[in-house]
Amino acid sequence: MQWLENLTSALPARRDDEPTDLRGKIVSELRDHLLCAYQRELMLTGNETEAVRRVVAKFGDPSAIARRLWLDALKEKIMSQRIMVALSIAMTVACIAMAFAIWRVSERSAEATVAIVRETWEANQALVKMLERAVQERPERESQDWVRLKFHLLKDVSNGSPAAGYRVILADGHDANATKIGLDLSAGSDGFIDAGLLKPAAYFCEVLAPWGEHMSLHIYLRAGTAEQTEVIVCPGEPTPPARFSFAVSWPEDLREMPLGLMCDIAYLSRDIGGRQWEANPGGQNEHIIVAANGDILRSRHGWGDVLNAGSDGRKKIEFKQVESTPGPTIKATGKRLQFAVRGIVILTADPDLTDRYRWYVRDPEGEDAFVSTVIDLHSEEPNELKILLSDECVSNVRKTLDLHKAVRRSGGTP
Amino acid sequence: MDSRLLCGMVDTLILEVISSGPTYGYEIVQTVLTRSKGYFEITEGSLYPALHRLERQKFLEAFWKEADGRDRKYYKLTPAGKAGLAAKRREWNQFAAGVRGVLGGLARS
Repeated sequence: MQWLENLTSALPARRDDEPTDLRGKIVSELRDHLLCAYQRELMLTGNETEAVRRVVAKFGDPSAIARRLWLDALKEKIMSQRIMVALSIAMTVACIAMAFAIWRVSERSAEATVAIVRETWEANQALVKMLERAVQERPERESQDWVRLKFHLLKDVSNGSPAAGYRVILADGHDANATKIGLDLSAGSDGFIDAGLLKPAAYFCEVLAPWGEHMSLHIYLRAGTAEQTEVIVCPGEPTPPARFSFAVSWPEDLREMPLGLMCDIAYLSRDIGGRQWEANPGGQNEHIIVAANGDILRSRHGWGDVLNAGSDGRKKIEFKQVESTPGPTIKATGKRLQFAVRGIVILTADPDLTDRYRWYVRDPEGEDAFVSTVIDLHSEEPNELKILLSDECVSNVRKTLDLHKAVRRSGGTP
Repeated sequence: MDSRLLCGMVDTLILEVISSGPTYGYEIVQTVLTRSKGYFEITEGSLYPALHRLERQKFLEAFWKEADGRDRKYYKLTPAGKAGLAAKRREWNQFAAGVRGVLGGLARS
């Protein structure tokens, strides 16, 4: 009976959670019912075909009943499964929605963070600008503790060109020896030197031209001033060299003698911009010896070196200091001059002076005995420095020479 | 007969038939048909879903037994099924009394 066999195939596909004997029991129960009905109808009609037709007509669709029973049996599991699936889908959707919400929140949070950082940066920038303005607008009186010292070095005149390369040596004190800070600075191409921040005080300052000419000044930094600029007019060019010769009035009988006149030359200072610039490097005078025959011998040593180099242990000759007076000329007098012949000294004119200064003559009164002579350094003509030996000086020289000869004849030392 | 009148009574009729002793689906249909003198004919489409529902509700207990050379599923009442049948009987009696009272009044008038 094919219509009975179709019951099994009418059921839905087997489920994993389906009891193994479920569909078999359903089919068996319905088959038993149909067979019972078939046997009854067959007994009533005696015709198998009619019996089947009547059973099917009365029973209805066995497959539909079988599917319904199967579904009823698994309804709870199916519903549970559907509920689980629905819950899973709902959870998935909820998770996705939550993730999206978190992403949106984090995105907004990031945007908010960026906005906060931007606002903070803008606020900081505004604060920095405000502080910069405050610093720029701060009155000078607020600088109580430190003063910025600047130098502006110019050539020849106050509105001259920048004195680039000129140096400034700054010392903390009243003279160069009291150096504590010892700043040695060079002017830039604009002639400016920034010495930095210094405490209000007195400072000793020395300005040097590239060729060694220098000028000293004191600077007083005033408290309550933020910045102080010292404008210094410097010599633009060095003093041109001057040519001059000596004309010493040696007596005729002494000109052939190995004698010399010891001279001390001090360079002049000159006025530049109201300040005195010194030309002698290091403040040292130059020493020359004018021989009796007119030769000029330069000493590489100071007076003391020359005169103390003897082996006889004699007392060195005393000299007076040259007194300086400002002026563009050199005068060949003693006390008032920059170029001077001081301490009347007669030496041998032997180039090897270190051990041959046997004879010397000095003015008994210790005074200079020469007339003044003026030399114009700006003259292109050779200058002649005339030195007139006084009679007294010549007399002393002769006495010294006679004494020296007498000593030598007696075999002693002068 | 209006099938809607039988719809609410299927469970009661099934429990009543089974209360007489263990029986199976086809016999239940025939018993109801016989006892009602052919008035109530429960279709298989209503019978088996009802049997299975009462079984899941623990009103019925099923067991298999071989008969006519094949397995046959029998049903019998459980204690819960007996209590449920008693409740349905009371309910029916009250319902029938009410219906009779109304219908009797109408008949007298």
